[in-house]
Amino acid sequence: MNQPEDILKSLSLKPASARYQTKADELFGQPAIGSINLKPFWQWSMAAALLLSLTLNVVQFQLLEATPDQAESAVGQHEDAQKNPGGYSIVQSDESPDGLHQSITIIWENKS
Amino acid sequence: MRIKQLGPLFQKHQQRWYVCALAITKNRQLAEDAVHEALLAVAETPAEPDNLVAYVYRAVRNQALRLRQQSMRHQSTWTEVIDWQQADPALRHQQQTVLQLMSQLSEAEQQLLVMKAIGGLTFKEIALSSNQSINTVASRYRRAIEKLQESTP
Repeated sequence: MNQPEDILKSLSLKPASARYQTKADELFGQPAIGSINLKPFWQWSMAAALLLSLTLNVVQFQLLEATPDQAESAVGQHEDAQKNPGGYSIVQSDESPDGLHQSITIIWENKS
Repeated sequence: MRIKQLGPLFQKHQQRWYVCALAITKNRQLAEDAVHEALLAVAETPAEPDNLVAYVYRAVRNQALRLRQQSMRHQSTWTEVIDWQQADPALRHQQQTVLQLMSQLSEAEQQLLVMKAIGGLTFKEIALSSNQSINTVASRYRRAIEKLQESTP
């Protein structure tokens, strides 16, 4: 029989699943910022959001087009942001009526 | 924000943190969860560790121990965490024999062998996770190998 150490070295562990990376991406990743190409309803929503952002003394405003996965990731970031002292965010996710955008995520971040 | 520091560290160390956790939990899903929860815990801790990588290694170990404790009812064997598709079929009998013999060693010795011999972690990385000196880890590894050799037919 070969040396036990050599036998052990001939083995390998099961690799991590795809979920390992995906969940980490949710933890660390940023949702992709898509182009702004909105129907009137969404233009009104954006205007309302901008007004709200000014009211809340927001220094950073992002409009994101996101897939459901990206929206889920953004929700994760929202939860992280809530835990971050001195900052907060609001995430709103909806399906667009034209079906072009599966969801829209708007994040207000207060860094004051 | 520390989470931004942890992202690049995860890309670099994800495999090693996973091996560290898997050697403790003997369960792939629990190992993955242990790493994720460790990262979240490190991101939220108010402490400012001198060595963030070492801090994460210890956090991974702690989370893996905690998750293993919670799932004691579902004890796995080493055979279940081996990637048999990658194993040489000609060595299959010897491999299974050695894994069985390994179960006679202490839990810490088994984890050490899995991390080092199978998982490919360095003594330094194992030392970081267990908060021991490299010399201590190396001598315990050699002792575990000797025990395994003594029990080999």
